[in-house]
Amino acid sequence: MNQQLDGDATDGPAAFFRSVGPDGVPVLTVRGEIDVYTSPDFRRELQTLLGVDATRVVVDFGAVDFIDSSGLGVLVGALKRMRERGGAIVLRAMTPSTKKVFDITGLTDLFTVEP
Amino acid sequence: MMTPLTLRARLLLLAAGFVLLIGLGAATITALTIERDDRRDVESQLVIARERVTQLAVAYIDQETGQRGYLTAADPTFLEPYERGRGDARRLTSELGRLAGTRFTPELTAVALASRPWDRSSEQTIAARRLGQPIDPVTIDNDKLLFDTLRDRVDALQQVVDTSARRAAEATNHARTSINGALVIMLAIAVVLLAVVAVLVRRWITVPVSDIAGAVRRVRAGALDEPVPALGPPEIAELARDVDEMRIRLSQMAIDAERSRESIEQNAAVVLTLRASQRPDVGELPAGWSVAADIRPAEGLVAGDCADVARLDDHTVAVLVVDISGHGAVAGILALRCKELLRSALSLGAEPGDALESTAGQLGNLGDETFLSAIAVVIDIRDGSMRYANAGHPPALVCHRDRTTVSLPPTGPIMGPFTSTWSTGRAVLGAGENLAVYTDGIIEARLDGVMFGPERLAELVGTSDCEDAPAIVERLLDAVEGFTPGRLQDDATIVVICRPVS
Repeated sequence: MNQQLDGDATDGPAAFFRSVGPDGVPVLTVRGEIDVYTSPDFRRELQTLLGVDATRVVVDFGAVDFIDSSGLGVLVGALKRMRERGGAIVLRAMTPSTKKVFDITGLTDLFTVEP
Repeated sequence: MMTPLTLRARLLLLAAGFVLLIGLGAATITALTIERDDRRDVESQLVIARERVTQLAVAYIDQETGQRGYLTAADPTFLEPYERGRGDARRLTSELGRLAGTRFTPELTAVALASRPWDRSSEQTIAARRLGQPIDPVTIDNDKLLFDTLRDRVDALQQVVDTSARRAAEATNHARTSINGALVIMLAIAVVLLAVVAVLVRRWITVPVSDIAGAVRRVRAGALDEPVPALGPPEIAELARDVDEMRIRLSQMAIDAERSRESIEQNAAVVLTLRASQRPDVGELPAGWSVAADIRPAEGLVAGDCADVARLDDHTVAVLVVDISGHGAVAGILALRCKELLRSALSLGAEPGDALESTAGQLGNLGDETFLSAIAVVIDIRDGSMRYANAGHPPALVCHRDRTTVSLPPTGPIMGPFTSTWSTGRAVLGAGENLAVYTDGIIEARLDGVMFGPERLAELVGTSDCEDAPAIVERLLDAVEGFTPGRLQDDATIVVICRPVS
């Protein structure tokens, strides 16, 4: 069972929830659309998770309807910082349309993808 | 140096002076009026006294006439005027005594003293005549002497009373004249004072305010360098200083606005040049071939996309599309640089995959979150064969005459985050077919969660034989903008190249 770290829901087209998985790995669950308007919130939430000095962070995309280049840029920037400390970012439960975006951009090979 | 009096203090002093003068004037006129009333009272009394003295004289004459008549005729009817005159004389003397004051008391006393012996003597002679006794002529002469003395005293009293009454009348007139004079003087002083007040108000208020107003009108007309003079009393001078500070601020704002305008003009020139550079410059293509391209920025005039259709040589055309993550002039400059590097590499004969690799090497680190996707398609216009490389870019579409499409998918990842390589793919643009190279701003335009999508794109591009490319481009971009009313979410770029049927 996920232990709630911080229930931080934002109003609007995207919502973000931080929690801790059963293995102690921080999890960021995203709902809605990640675009130029919501990517600042996405960045802030992801940086909060990275600030816990974790070497493994999970981003749950199960409820993400859409992600554009601004959202991808946030993930790329976060991955660079994780790689500097030898860590990894896991992308979990991507929908087919979201996975297609990662496949086209070739980012699927850079992240760890989980069903 | 003494601090100048404030306007408030000056006006208070003026008001105090005015009140003081009014007070003095009122006090003076009141005093004069009281004096005039007193003198009028005295005059009235003396007028009455004058009448009474005349009546007293008549009373004594009646008394003497009555006495003489009785002594001569022994007729008792003569005693009536005697007695009446006697009574009137006593009454009138008493009344005159009340009216005398200090004005004619001596004269009245002299009359009273003169009347007693005559009164006594006449009474004795009348008594003797009543008894039938003979009257001594000496007594009669004595009575006459006494009466003459009395009459002289009464005449003297009359003169004094007449003189006093005349003087009292003169004094009353004088007092009346004094009051009128005082009123005239007060009026003159009031006029002078009003004139002084008018001059002072003009000097203290009207002129300084008028000067300030004039300066403000000149500032309004554009003379921002002309200072507002701090004139007049301290309050007005302070107002002028406040207005002048406002002028200085306005002047600075005008300078800042002018600089901003110049900066915008400069930036606009740069922006327009950049915008023009982002658009493809297509050389002449062989007859029947048609190419068109357009970029619709999501914000402002400059997009983060760049497109180019370059004639590499007599039989080779390169189609380049670059998409930087982000919008605006900074992203546009980076996209332009990438395009130029790609074009240069292709012009030197590099395979598209190698051109992408050399471009990535020259661009270096794009920043933490910045990346780009790009596609380079080199077309041999003799036979339609294509070599392409796609760095994480949406697949280009070859639209067949039977409305089917073939994608030119990525041959490597996006450029920027990490070191990568890209392979070169191969495809064919058949006769009568269209090639559409675009950015994700086209297919990811969305409304209520529904995306425009590659299917709509393929339908709009490949709906007919090779028609005029510009018409296809315009129709497609109009459709995208109509799909998302208001504003595009991302820069939208499309290049369409049509190979003729024959």
